[in-house]
Amino acid sequence: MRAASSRLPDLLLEQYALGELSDAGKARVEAVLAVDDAARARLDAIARSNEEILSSSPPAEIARAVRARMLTAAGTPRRARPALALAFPAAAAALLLVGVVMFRGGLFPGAADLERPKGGAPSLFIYRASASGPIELRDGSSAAAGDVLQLKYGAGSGRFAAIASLDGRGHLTWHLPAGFDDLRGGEAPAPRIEEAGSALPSAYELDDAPFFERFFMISSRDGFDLGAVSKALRALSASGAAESGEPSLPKGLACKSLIIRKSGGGR
Amino acid sequence: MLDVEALYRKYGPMVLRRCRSLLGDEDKAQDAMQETFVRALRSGSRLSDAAPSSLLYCMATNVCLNAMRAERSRPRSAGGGDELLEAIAGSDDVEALGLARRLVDGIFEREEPSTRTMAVLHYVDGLTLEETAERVGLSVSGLRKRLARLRERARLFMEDGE
Repeated sequence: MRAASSRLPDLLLEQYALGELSDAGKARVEAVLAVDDAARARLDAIARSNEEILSSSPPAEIARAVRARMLTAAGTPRRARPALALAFPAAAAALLLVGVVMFRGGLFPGAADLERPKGGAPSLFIYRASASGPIELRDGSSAAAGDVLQLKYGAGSGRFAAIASLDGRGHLTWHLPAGFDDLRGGEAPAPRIEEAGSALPSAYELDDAPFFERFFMISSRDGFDLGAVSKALRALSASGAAESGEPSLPKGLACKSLIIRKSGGGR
Repeated sequence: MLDVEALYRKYGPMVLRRCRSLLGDEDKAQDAMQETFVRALRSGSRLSDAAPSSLLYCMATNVCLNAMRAERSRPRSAGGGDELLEAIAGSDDVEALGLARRLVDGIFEREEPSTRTMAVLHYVDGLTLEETAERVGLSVSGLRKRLARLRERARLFMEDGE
């Protein structure tokens, strides 16, 4: 069974124009072109359209927009036109004053394929997006403003956990739970981990805070209050020891930290 | 490493025309075109085939169908839903356009993306079974079975809805 249309399918004409048809397909198209003025006009129109599209949407601009979309992954709010897509760095720059920038809604490319952390002892992994795939950043590794990071954690299923980071400006950013506003006050329970290990649902772009971004993963078999963790981390920052000191956490909480040195940060 | 710029320069216009024809909206078509290249680049090695145009064309079709489904809107221009309705309505046992409309809804809601793409390539674009099979990487008999299963499910879908 096939469609009743005798019109040469667009795809065949496109592939003929690209020189990507098999011999049989090429013969079919050329047989039609030899007798069909309309088909020849369509082929000519493809050539004109190619010029018009490449002129109005230049390859360099589209390539930048596509690369930007790859870093933010599926589910990121869509940017309908190239101009809007290219406007994204400017929007991100406006957010740089408030800590690492979160790309809501997605992992970065390849992050989903990273080895799943094992359960058991709490562990934290950080990966940097690169053109060749995710690169693990170990404790003390360097990264630069604009680098996109993906966090993964390992923790025993059923544990409670939180992840936050302090930067060289003393800014505190919450990653798990993402967007937690610790300044609102009140009791805030740490989330319970349902899977033994997983990637956070959003990637992050490092801002231009100097010196370092230090990530803390706090976990416990029992539930705990995020407010107490926040207080300890802010106290650590205020003491000037955020780079190497240990937060004074409530008893029973395990803490794993990992520091990323900022290249070009002056230290 | 794939050169995004070179890939777009060669195939971008074809992909954008495909998206325009299915979505009938320039902004949405541009968005779908970019999304197609993102997916294609993620697919990596598949793009190293001798003729990436087939892969990109099928991906663009799938991206557009997803976009249409997400918006719960039907395509508006050449190659879109009305043609699909008429094509399927005119094929085999499916005769009434009203029933075909529900059939399309069923296809969009229940079928695997690859099957939807195959259906559009064959029923709407007018590619033969052989041409469709070549482009989606199936044998003709495999494609025939997929489309037969699709029609059977569509019949059941319509019978259930009666």
